[in-house]
Amino acid sequence: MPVSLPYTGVSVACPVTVPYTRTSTRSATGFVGLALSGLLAASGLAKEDIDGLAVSSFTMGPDTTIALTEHFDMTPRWIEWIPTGGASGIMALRRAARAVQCGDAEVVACIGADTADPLSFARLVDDFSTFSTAAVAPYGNPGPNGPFALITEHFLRRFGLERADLGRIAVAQRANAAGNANALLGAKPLSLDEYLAAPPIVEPLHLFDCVMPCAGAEAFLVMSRDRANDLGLASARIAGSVERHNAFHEDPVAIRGGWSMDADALWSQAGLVPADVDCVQTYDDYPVIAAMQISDLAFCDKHALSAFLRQHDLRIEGDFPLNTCGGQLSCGQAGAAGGFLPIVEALRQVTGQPLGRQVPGARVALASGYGMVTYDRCLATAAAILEGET
Amino acid sequence: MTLDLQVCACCGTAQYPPRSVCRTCLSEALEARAMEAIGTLVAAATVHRSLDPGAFAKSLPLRIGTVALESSVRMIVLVPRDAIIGQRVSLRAASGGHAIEAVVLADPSARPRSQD
Repeated sequence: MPVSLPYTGVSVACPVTVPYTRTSTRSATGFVGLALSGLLAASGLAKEDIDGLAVSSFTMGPDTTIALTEHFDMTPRWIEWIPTGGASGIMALRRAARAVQCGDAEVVACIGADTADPLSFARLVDDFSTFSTAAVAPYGNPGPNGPFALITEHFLRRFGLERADLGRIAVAQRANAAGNANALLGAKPLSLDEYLAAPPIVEPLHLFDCVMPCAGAEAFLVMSRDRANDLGLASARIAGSVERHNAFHEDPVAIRGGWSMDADALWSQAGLVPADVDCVQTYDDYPVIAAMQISDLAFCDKHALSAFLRQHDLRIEGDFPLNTCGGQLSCGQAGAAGGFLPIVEALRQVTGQPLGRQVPGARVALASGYGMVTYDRCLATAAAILEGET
Repeated sequence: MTLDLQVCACCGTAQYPPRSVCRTCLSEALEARAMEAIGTLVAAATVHRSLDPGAFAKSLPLRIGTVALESSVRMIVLVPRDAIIGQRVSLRAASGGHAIEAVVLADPSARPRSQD
């Protein structure tokens, strides 16, 4: 089992969220700019102090991170472009942490941002990957709902779950969103009966299994612990992290992701066990994927998931706080920012800066990501464990 | 009943969706080969909402499924409404369009395969 070197001396700080809106006339570059501005305000740093920039976005057209340096008159000595959607936040964290550790950059801004107009989601899906255009679109053009309906159908049957088990995730996350002003659906309570009675989209997926596309940005800074201390910032250390791509491609239907290949390495690097975690922030494009991460990351066996979801309270005040900002299912999916949401919410909780309610006494948080459904499953998986340093 | 599948002339690997090189040996010597595409229906779903309702309004709801072929290829295909998970199916090009459809093999002795 390969275990990476520790992230000694590296800190993560300044969780920033640019408020989500259902649609926006602001460009994706504008959302990145607002996120950067928010990072400067939160840290007290000047733009010139940011010498590393890692960005993820789907709607910047032909532009990537390098074009942004010109938009913002920046001269960084390290940049990254991370076009891996749901895994991009943790992948940005991992790359930025090594750059800081090795001295390639002192302060790295990590930003996921996307805009949304009424047609942008359809355009994005239309041209998402070579395989999806050729081999998913002819089947009713279901978008990602098609492949994930197949994954959900198979997963429920094979591991003995009911729709209501997945509903418990959606309902708890909606309760968690109640205090979060940035959650677009936070003011609309959701009951299990409403979840079960929702109209079908691609059966077995119904309305409340699906995220609402929106515009917004999520961001954080990576720097040395000394720098974070000098700036007086509430910060977290990276106890462990992993990523894996195209894992288990021999599985006819996805029942697991790369997390299960690397969970032992993650816990070993962190020197922690699942019971040490105070809150879990999974990627939640669909409830079944949140359930898959709970099991792949070793919180419970897949055959025990149904019982696990019934026996645990997934709310902020519960015994297994899950997606404590409401997740994408309640906040909306702001494109690549959705891939930053788990790590940003983990950072918020372990540094005492939630947008909504605080998980009581949260010190250790796990975040995980899942990105890029190029054909019938997402290929990119990542996870990180953050521990508050204050 | 056959289906054109991309096969590597060097190592014999079949692959779908089509690629530019062989997924196993990375050879460019790929050819479309008419093959008997027999496999097992391992998952199914019903499309009620399309991103392109104009094009698919008349065909919704539409049943789709994942078929695992014996050649370790997996494919999302159109599935008959009465097909049962675990049944053996054969694949062919659907008429009028770019889709592939599953036909349940009429073999009364064929028992559904375990999913595990």
